[in-house]
Amino acid sequence: MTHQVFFEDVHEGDEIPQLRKNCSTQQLVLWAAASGDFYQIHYDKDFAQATGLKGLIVHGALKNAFLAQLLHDWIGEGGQVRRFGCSYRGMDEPGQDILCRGVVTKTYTRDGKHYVDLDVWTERPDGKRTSPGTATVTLPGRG
Amino acid sequence: MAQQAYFEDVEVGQQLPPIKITPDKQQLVKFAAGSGDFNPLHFDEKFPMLKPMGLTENIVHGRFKYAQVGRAVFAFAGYKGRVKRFGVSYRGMDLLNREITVGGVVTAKREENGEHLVDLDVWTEDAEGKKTTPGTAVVALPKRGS
Repeated sequence: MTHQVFFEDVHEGDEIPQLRKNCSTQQLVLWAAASGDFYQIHYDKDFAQATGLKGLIVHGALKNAFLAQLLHDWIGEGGQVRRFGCSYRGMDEPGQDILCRGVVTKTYTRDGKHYVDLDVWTERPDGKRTSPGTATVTLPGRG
Repeated sequence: MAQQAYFEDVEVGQQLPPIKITPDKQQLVKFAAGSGDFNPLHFDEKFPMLKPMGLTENIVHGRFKYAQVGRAVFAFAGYKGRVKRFGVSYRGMDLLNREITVGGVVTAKREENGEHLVDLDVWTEDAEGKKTTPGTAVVALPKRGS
């Protein structure tokens, strides 16, 4: 268990700790197995190129899961993800870094719960945000 | 479902109906998913282990071929027969997108403890005729009218 982040320590504009991913082709196959998405563009290079892609691409739902990990790693056991979603706006390749990032956009307390809104996204080495999304989490307060 | 084979009708030297399969990458990935064998040898053509083996194409899981031979053996046994023993060994590699033929032949018939047993040689064969997954099976078959 890493240390717990508390609501009082979080401010608008804060960036949360980044999560760096780099998918092997094996990870894509493992994801296909776990998710049931066996579309060949994720592991069959010839198939991917025949559909007009440059090569293999990472499953969107896997990046969605990476962003969920980013959030859960940050909020710790004391926090809860209340709402989270992202859209798939760009492609990532296996063997290339996928940087998962998040920035706090709003903090507020309602009905005794401490809410934090965030923008989250995955980022390619060229800076393109391939899976932008938003999330709302609740964090424990000190004391 | 094929017709039920009965002990009386089986002859030594009889061949099992051949099954031809050409596994593609999706089939191997699904087999990896089903079996839990995620060795990249079976789906990543750039996997570093392939080159020293002199290969440019992924190799088919041995157990995938075992399963294909199993289809032939269980089809031969039918609903009323029982597979008593079945095993293969992995003696050669088969490559992705190449045709594999599953075959088998009856080598003996015998009665043992009241059971009517049929011994089989079974295998997968590559396009050059090399038997890459040879094995044996023992199947108990029903007798007519029993």
